[in-house]
Amino acid sequence: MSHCFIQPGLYSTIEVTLEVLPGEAYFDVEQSYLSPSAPFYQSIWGGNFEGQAVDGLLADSPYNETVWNRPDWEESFRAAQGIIDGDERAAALQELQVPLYEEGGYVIWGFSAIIDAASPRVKGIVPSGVFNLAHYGDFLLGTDFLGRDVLSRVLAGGRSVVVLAGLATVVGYALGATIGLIAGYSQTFVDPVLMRAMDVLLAFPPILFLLLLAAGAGASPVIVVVGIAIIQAPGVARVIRSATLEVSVKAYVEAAVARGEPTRRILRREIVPNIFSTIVADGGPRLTISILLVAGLNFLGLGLRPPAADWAVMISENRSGLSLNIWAVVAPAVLIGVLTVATNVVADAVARTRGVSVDETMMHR
Amino acid sequence: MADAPMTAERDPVLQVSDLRVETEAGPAIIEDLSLSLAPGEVLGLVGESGSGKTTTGLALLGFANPGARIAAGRVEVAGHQMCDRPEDELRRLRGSLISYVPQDPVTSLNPSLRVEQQLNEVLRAHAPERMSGRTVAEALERVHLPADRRFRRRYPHQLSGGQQQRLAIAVALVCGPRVAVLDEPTTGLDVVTQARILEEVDRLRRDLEVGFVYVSHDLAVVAGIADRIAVMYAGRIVEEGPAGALIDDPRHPYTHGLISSVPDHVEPRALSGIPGVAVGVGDRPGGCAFSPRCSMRVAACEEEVPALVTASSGRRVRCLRWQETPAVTVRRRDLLEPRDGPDVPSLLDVDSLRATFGSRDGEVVAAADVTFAMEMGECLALVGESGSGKTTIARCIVGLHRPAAGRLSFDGRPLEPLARQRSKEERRRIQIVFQNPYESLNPRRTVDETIKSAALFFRHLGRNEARTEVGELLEKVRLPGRLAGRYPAELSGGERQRVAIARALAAQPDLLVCDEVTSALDVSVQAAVLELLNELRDDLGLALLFITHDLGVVASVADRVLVLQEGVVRERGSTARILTAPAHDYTLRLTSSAPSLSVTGPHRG
Repeated sequence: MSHCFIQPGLYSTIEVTLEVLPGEAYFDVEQSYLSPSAPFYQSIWGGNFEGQAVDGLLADSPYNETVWNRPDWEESFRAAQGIIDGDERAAALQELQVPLYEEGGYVIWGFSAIIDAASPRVKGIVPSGVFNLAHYGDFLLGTDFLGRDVLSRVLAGGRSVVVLAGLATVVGYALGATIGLIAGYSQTFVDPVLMRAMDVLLAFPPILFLLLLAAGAGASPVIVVVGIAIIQAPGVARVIRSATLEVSVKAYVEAAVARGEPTRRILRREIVPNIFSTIVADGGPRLTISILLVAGLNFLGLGLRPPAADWAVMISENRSGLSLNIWAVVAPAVLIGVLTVATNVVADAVARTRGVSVDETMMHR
Repeated sequence: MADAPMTAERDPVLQVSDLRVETEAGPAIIEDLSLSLAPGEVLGLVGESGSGKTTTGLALLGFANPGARIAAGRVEVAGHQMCDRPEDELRRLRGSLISYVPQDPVTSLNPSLRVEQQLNEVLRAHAPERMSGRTVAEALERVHLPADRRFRRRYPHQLSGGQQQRLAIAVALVCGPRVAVLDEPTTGLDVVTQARILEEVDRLRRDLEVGFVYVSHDLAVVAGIADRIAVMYAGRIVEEGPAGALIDDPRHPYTHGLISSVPDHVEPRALSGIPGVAVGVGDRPGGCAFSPRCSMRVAACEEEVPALVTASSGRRVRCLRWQETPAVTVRRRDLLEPRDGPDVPSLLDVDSLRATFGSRDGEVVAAADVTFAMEMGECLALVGESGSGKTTIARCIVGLHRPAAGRLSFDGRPLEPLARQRSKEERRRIQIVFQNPYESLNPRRTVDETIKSAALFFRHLGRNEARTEVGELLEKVRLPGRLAGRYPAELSGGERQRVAIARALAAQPDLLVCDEVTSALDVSVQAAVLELLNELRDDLGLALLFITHDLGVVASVADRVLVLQEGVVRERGSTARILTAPAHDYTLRLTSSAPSLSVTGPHRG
């Protein structure tokens, strides 16, 4: 557990306790190191544990290079390499450290997502009576066009972005992955029918599509989530379909087919666990795209509306006062950028623990 | 052959001493390796996966794969030192002084270069003055490839597998090197093509006086071509000597085990495998690396690595007790004449089965009018080369491929074409074990889960019953119970294949379809798996449909044989009859081309 103290002014001290992150995220990473099912091991040992450790290390795994070039991991790997007993190996792998910049990624993510309305100042509803001023008294980033504390609103404004983008990505996955699984596994006319439908969706420019949607259904956070999910679904479906195609010709799937197991059970037990690493690696970049789309929509006023404290809304409403208080625009803009980078860093780290590189899944597109 | 043992008397073209290659991380891949090779001699380098034979082959060119480096020792080719030399000098020597033929010609020939360009590339680098149509034609003729213009303008994908391998050899020899390293040059080729390539190598070494290092896992192939054989285990040479003497009277227990594991179609044998699996690079034990698997082990074996001692002239062996190694005793397998059939009710009937694939060029027929029957407890082998349709037939039988025509019936009742349409009972009674053990188990499920789910699916067992059942099945396939919690990635190939067999047995089948189950395994492991299948058959009364391309394996397991070529049954009969008195031309070609330890190779003059 780590603490993060932020002291914006004299009246109050906001103590943000990041109980879940980065500790939890860190734990998660360890978990995947520990999970003996992760193909991570296969990449360390190149598949054939006893026979061909070195051959495998050098040739087979796309991931080896990453592993090999990291001096801080190497020792632990070496220590773990000779150990066959599951528990001992887990203990050896536990020593693997997450590099500092990745922890930074977790912190930013946790910060954006979890910071809460602990004080009235954060809610951004306490007007100072002083409008659009940089560096006014205790207000480190000044006040906005309604005299609200910019720092407080910046602190609070990340959660909506993260939550909306996260939801949109999850819904998009639920939609796209289902279609991709069915299309990839069916090997019948269903496949082309579904995929051509997805291609049609792909043909729409995202923003135009969202504008039309908002024009038709009205601006609301729900529309943001649904719209972005629909935009994400075709890409997800394509990636999942190709991963499914690859797995469904493996002998262990055929063995299940020959046993006559029901299709749902085959999908759930034989296929999904084995394309999970693809989902993890693919999910990160998609989340980034969702964040940018959410920010874009909120900026245009198609999602959240004032007085919501949201980075994109802030940029939108304060940009007319740019020359008076530049921070009211720059701070949220920079944070959107930082959040995007942090998302990629975290996604890479998580994907790496699943033994795949993001580049690898990009090839499916 | 008259001039067979050409060792010692002439100056060696290749001299390796105390070579050590290690990974960047430290552990040795090969160590303490010394070799020599006379002009025109063929040295066979034999070992199982992970023994370091390919690393050795590459190190002879002063090359180490990324992640490995040559740490110590000398490699001298015709007086030129290959270690500790700048890379650009080495590059000049590779190809002109010593050359390398990689395992897979499909990936080693640049697919965008025409045949003549493949040869010219090497000439341009090493002997630009010799670049001419004449040189190219000679190089092609040397390996019996056509030298006409049309052939020279073909791309690698327009050649057959055998032609590709010949071309790769021609490329390796075009600059007149003194030594050529052939790394598994015939693995992946069918036996007939393999036999031709071997003849070619034998002729070339005599005509050109090139020294060949022939790297292979297949002792029978090496025995047929090599003058001397060096057996590698865990990065060290454990035994070396003239091919004939080494095969007839191995002194190292590992060599002894290997020879007892090699199936042979000329002398059908009951195989005995070596217990355990070959050790990987990181986990080689101290002392003699083979000691954990050795039946002659004494305490001293674990204390230090035995030295490579000279056993007799030209023979070296790395074992403390080499004098006590017993002679190889071949347990002959008695091939029974089959009972006269029609009164025995058959278990499986395949009647004029026809199976096809749709492809871009139209329809490919994988099986045409295939008819056969199997009895309870019988082992029938389907033999054929790749593309003969044997795997498709297996898939039709288990309901993974819809036949285009024909009838299947099981135990007197007709079988629906697809597994989904068959009754659960029918599916339970026919089980399949797949070729590739690395793909046949779900990597996300433990051994225990894999076996248990099959047992639970087919037989309505309680939780506790299922648990004891898994224990019993693991015992049946000779796996220790502690493996139950492992994931497939933590198992060796042989262990995985046993788990796949246990999963099939969990259904208590009557017919087990084995699709090339041992082709991905090392010979010592293959022997153990075949032994296991034989025992299971005796104990459980299983009928085995055994699909293979290896006649030696057929000799070790099958009662009856069906020979397939291009989807058509060419010949059928008892194993003894097919192996000793083949009637069809195709069968004859197979039996005469298949390598065997017991027939005369060039080393037996």
